[in-house]
Amino acid sequence: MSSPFDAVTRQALLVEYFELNGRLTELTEAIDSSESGDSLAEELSHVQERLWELSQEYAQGVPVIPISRCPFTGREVVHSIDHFGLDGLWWDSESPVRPGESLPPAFFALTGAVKLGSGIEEFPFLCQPGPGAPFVIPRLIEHPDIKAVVSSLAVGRHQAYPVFYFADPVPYDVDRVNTWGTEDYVYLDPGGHYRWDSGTLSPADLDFDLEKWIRAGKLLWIAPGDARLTLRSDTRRCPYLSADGRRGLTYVRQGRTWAWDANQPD
Amino acid sequence: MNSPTVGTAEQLVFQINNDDIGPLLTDGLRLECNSLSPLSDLLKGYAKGSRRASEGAAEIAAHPLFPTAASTLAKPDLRMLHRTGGGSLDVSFFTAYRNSAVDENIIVTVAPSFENSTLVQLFGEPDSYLTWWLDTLATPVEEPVANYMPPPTPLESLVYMLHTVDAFRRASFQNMLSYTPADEPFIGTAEFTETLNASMGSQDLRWLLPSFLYLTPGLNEYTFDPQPEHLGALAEQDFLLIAKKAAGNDEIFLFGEAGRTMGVEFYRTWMSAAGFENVVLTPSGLRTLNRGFLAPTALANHLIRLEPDGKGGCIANHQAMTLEELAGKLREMIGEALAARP
Repeated sequence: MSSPFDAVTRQALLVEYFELNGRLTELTEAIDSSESGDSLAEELSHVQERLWELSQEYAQGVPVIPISRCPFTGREVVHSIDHFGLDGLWWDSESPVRPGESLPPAFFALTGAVKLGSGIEEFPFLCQPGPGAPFVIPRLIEHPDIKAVVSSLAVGRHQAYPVFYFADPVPYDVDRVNTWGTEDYVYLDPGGHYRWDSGTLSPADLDFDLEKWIRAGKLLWIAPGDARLTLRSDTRRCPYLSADGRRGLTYVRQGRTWAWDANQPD
Repeated sequence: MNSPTVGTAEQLVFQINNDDIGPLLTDGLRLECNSLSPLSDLLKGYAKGSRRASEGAAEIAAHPLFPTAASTLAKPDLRMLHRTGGGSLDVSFFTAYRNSAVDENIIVTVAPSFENSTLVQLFGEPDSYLTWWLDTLATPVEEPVANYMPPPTPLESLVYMLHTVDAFRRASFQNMLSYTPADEPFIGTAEFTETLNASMGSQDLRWLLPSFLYLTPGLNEYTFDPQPEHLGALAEQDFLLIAKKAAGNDEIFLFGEAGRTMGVEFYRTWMSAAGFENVVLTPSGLRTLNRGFLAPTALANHLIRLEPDGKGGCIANHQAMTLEELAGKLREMIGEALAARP
């Protein structure tokens, strides 16, 4: 396993990546409209190759950290996440750059929320970090074999709330949900083969009333900053019950944010 | 005493006088026993042909499933031991066996019965055994509840948590005895330690912690090394809160959300418990497959599975389960046990 990058290395990589990505767009448009495409095509090839190298470098450097715990087995869950900021390629919802994950057998889905802090990063891709407060998806968590765990961590200047869904046994007749920050999900079928699919999520699918799910034994929580990832079920001191933040689905691009709230049409 | 057989093509229940076991199995079926057999002790010292079977034994021996039951009990390779009792029940036990050479899926249980007899039940398939197991030991709960002891829980912390559940009942009794219904239940810190030590040494199965310690087979195989962080789990999981008495400086424990909720649940609705251990006989000896404790209440089937931590101690995986969840987990455990090969 390679070492995770530090902030400086990551920043340099992203600067070069975004510059080359912009150049890629220019070249593509120029080749389409130009008669002298050969030299441009050669440069295009170099740019694509370098972008590929950078994305591989990024995928190998994304931190993989202990982030949750399975409520059925007690096993710690490690997962990749670019916690330096939303400008990382990990957060590109249309073309995320993420390493392969090593997840426990009971893993079912990962969603999440991000409460945006001051100063949104500038990046050219579309980031869909979820709403501003932690939530559950009733369609999933109501299933008798599924439980969820909410935790939190800082992502740059923002506060992120990963919500992992676990199942024991795993139901294969239940549609999953797009993995946090992306537009699809990958899963193992009963035959042990990886498959992918995608779904849609609307604000109406989200439930921010976490207390009733905790009391029902369907949602557990991990205290912010708890490095031991201790699962908890009491509501008296649960900080996620009072988490404020926008309840709509958030979109971020080029330093701008907008949201799809529950009372807005699709 | 031998009772008439009750059986179908796939299930057989009979009660056999222990004095008839030698004549029927050793003389009649010419069976020998292995070290795992529950019949070894009963057949110790029995000389072939030295006794005749009683009259009622003939009906048992005539049942077509009797040879299968007998062969399974004579040389089992899988044993599922259960100790039951606790709460308001006396201690008892039953053990389930399987002999893969006879049939991979047939399970036969034995339990001591009255008047020097043994109750034997044969289940033709694992699901019928599971159904009987759940009817006997579990509670038909349908709605899930919060798990205040989520995994992983070191054994030492589990002991403290179970004692806290008992401590709530104790504090509630004290309130009743002093006619102070409005007082919030509490326990002095010194009293908590004193009663913990007394509880652990008592074998008084009216309380939850002694029931866990006594009924769970094989607990003595694990080290028990309480450290401050194990006690700290009580505060972390909101079982106990440290406070000071209103008058004076005495430190007391108040009950947090977990301590109160589980305390009330067990105080009002806990009636019985069962410890279990599944072992398979291998050429090099017995191998433990799993070990645990079940305490059903009106709200949940509290299943505690114990796993070695690799350092001599053990880690508890507690789940508060509906009947359906428990059935699924038991089916998985029984399936793993039946799939285990000597």
